[in-house]
Amino acid sequence: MSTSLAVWTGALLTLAVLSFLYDDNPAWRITEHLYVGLAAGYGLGYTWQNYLRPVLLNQVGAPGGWIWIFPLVLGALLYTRYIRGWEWLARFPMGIWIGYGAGYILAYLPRVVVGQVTGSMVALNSLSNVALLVCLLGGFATFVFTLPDRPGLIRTAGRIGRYAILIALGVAFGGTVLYRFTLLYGQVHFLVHDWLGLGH
Amino acid sequence: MGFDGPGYGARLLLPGYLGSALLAALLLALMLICLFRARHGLRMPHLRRLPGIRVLEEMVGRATEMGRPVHMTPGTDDPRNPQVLASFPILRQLALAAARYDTPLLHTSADQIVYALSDATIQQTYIEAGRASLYDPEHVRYLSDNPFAYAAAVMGMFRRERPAANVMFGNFGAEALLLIEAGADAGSLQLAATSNIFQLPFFVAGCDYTLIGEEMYVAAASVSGDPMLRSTVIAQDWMRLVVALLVLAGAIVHTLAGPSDPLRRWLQR
Amino acid sequence: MRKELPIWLGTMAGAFVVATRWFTLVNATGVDRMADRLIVASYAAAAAVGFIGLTRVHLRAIDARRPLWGYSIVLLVAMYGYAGLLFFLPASAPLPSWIFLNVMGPVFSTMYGLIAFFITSAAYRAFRVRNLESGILLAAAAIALLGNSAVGGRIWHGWDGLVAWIMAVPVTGGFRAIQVGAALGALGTAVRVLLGLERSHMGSPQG
Repeated sequence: MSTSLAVWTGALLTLAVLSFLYDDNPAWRITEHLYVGLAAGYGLGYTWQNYLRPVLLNQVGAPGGWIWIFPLVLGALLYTRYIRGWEWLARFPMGIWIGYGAGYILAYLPRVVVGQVTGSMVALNSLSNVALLVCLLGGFATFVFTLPDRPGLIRTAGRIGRYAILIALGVAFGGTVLYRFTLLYGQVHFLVHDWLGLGH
Repeated sequence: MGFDGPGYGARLLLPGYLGSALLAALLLALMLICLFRARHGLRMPHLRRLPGIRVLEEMVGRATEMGRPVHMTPGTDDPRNPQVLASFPILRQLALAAARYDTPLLHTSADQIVYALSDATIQQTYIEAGRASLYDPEHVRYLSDNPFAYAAAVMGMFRRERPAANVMFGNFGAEALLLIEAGADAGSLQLAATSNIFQLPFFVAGCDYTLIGEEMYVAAASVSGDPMLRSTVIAQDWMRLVVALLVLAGAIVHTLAGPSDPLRRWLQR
Repeated sequence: MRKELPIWLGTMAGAFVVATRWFTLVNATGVDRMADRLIVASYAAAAAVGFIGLTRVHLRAIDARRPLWGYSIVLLVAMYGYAGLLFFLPASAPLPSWIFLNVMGPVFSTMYGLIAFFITSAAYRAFRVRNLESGILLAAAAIALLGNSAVGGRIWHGWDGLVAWIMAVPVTGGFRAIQVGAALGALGTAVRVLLGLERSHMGSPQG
């Protein structure tokens, strides 16, 4: 059996998490709250070390660094949510962030569509390629929203597309199962091999 | 993108963006046309009702009968993700129903900005519904920006507070299955919506209702019943037709012209 | 002004992003990268909002002696302790990195491992539904599972060919349909936000 503090900490925490499979219990609850607390602390510490501190120490004081004051003030406006009567100021960073994000979507997502379209322009010289096109166009038909009573052709195409989508999802499901079991195996191996010292 | 790439200085658009810009411009034009028609009360096609929207009210009703809360999560991404953006109208509708039924709505998030936005949405919705007293800041919880710490906290919460309904609407990573299982274990009626193709299989297999891909955006645009918003969904359908015709035309051109394929090359310019 | 101005500032920010990404003249100035860095800095400046939220919830739980309030102390001590450590020390220093590797690491790995248990119960639930759709889903999953584990090839020599065909035809077609639809929906959402039609996230009704 291991004598390392690190291995013991890891092993006890691993068992505490696995105990949740049985029921909610004090060991799980301590681990849950510890993990959430550490993750939140790490998140804030990481942001400070990698984003805020460099900006405050290196950027703001540098020539032309005044521009960095704007984002800092903009972000800080979010805290007005906690000041009664001034909550509306928090809408400014929210509005700008959402708009900026929406701009990103508009700028980059059309490329995804173009990529999928050009990728699907296959030569109709084999049964597989024709079937691919049928599955794709059928898939499009399942997402038609404006025709409550879809005419026969679109309904049939939609059904084929629906089955293609289900097959795709099923294959993704099956593909993930093995990978997940590999990860579980890794943790069981840690308990048996590193902690208990068995199976050498 | 290289600054000294071929033809960089001479062109209006960056290389590779011609097809994108045309598609985006066409979608914008179609949406403006649909908005114009909606504003002037012109005839518009009806939208198919998505089962996922119909059950929102039922979910809150069920929770009320059982005397248990409703839970909603927008997933573990930040608001730059369109799936997270689409969660806010659903959250608003759920908060309206919760206010009507006087049932607690628990909201958990894994991003601080999403948390702030969701908190504002819920508070404002309760105020508009005349139920400002129902707003409890402890029901809107930022848990962690680490997806597995977030999942751990949700799992613990589901064991202890046993929500009767669980709405998972947004972008999820590998933690999705942990959330589905937490809901199933608590006996929650579960609705999931995502465009993430890696997690969709688990939602389809494990939830009572699933909105796949575009359905989540259409649900978000049509849930309020606002005719202006609904009209823009019609533009999406027109775009789909355009895309389908492009694929068909491209396949025919490719079959006839072989690898030189002018249409494909033009779109990728 | 309090409601409309933030929305229109957002629209301008969105239009700015599109202009800097598409048009050569604007893109050549490098203003897109500078704007990205400024936006990230603004996110960072707001990074204590969730921290404040967690503190508020758990302090109240302790104060009111709610059931299980003792665990709230564990959370707050861990959160403030680790954040405090990282305020003074880099994440690569011995103590912070020990905590990361030996406390957070095993919990993360085991949580990930739990998914393996739950994947089977999810499959079982889907199997119980017993309609055509869940049947197709599970049959496809079984075929992929056998295909990946090399057992399929021993049962029937044509198995690998079947899996390859399924991947190339229905899987590619199905996923492309989902992705194109999702992209159209996301684009529609972005336009609705930029036109100021969709504003639930601002705590305001639509329209």
